[in-house]
Amino acid sequence: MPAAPGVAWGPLWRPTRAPVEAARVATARATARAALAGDAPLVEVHRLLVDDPVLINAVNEHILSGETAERALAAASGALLDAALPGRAPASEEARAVLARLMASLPPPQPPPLPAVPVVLALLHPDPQQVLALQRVDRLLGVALAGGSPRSHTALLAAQLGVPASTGLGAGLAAVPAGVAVRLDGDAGTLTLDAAEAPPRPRWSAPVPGFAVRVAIAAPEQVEDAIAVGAEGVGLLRTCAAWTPAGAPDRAAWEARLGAAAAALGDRPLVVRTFDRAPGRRERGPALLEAPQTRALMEAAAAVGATVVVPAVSSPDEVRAARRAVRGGTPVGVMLETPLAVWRADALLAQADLALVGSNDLVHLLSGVDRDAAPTAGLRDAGAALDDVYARLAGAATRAGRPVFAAGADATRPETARALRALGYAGVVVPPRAVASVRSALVPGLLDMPPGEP
Amino acid sequence: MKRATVTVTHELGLHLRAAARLVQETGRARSAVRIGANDNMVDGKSLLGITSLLAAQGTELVVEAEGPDEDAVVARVVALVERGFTEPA
Repeated sequence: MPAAPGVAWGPLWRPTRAPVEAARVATARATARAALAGDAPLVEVHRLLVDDPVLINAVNEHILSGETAERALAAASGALLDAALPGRAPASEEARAVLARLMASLPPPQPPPLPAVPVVLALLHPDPQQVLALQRVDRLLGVALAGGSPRSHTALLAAQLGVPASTGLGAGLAAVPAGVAVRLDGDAGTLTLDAAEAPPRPRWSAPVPGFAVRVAIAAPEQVEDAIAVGAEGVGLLRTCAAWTPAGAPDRAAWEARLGAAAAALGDRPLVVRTFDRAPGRRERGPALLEAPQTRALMEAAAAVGATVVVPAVSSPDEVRAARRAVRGGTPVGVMLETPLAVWRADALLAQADLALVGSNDLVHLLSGVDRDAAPTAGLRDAGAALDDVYARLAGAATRAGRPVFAAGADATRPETARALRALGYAGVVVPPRAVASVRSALVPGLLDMPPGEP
Repeated sequence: MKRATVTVTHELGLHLRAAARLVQETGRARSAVRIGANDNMVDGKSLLGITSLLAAQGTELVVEAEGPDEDAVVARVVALVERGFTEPA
């Protein structure tokens, strides 16, 4: 299935997590064994279960299929619950207790091994961490998923990073040898063995009057991609990958990176989103505004003349807090991505300088369907509800006299872009690779040659 | 391969602690051990496997072992079941 637009060529790479994860389980078992002292009958039962061949095989099967130790232990535990029979229940219950003990004894996750060259990442299971790990070292050309839906986190992450992705390729993906040259077509949703073709240059396209097509990128350095495709600025710079767990958040480093991006963009806008989620923390965007990491980011954004948007906003107070934090005349925008924000859109827009509709979260929250789940009727119904949400928010934006943009996977659909323009949206925010296709959907035949190449 | 059958006499059948005693016995053996009931054979060294047999009082257990100490382990398992999973007198 198509999941993120674009085509990628490169060697197939399959992360080899299994040895690392198996070693983590072995360490957890040794830790658990050492902690099980004494000869009480239940302690002996637990000791036997730590080394139970059936239990360990169940865990190892998941690890060999590429899952993390955490997921493997959870899956084995879930299977015990399913198989719980009246007479078997006592052992199942104790086995679940032992698996929980192993989970708690796991050593910290190890970083996945990295390839030496840029690759097409093949995943048998959704694994956003792998995608981010490769992106961080600039080795990610595309993502091929055996399972999952186009709305799974892994697929959406690829789309957000501007990397082509195909999902639902099937278990046959496991049979493709690592290292062979492949062609991943994220528009067709396919993966083919193909060494001959060379990658095309990004397609430059001309602006559509009255409807801005801005890009969403995941690092200030990717601003080059925005310029290469002729986008009208950066509509959403995602920052989550750069969250630093502790210590001194480096405002100077942010200012240097954002400053370089702003300079490259010239008079085109740069919209920086504050941290949406932080590893190890449950709060979302607005609750992270007081964090020193967020402060450093916002001050740097203000210093280089960027616009700041706050994700997952639900109350006008949160917008006011963000405005206080950036001070000066820095524009502050809101991401409308929860049903509550839609309901309060007028109040939120009265405080904000611009609004960005986050369609991925809205679809997820409107339908209640997990983003990693396969497509269901619930998601299609949410798509219809989303059209109504777009219309309501267009009305709120008009009343407030503020521009509104739409972001997320839905905004890359040609039908959506056409509908948004008719509703009076200021534009869409899409991955760099989708800029040309969105524009061509709006004005067929408008695709131009690169500047200077008549 | 050594094979024997034995009937579960304990009133609670092959309950959790009984199964644990049994696995302590099989786990020490160097031979591969399989235990079954009602045409269902499982790994004799797995507590989960053995409790899944749901062997109630009166069930006939099949004990199989293959390896260097197969005779001894089958004898010890049969004896353990016969005396109701208690320690030897």
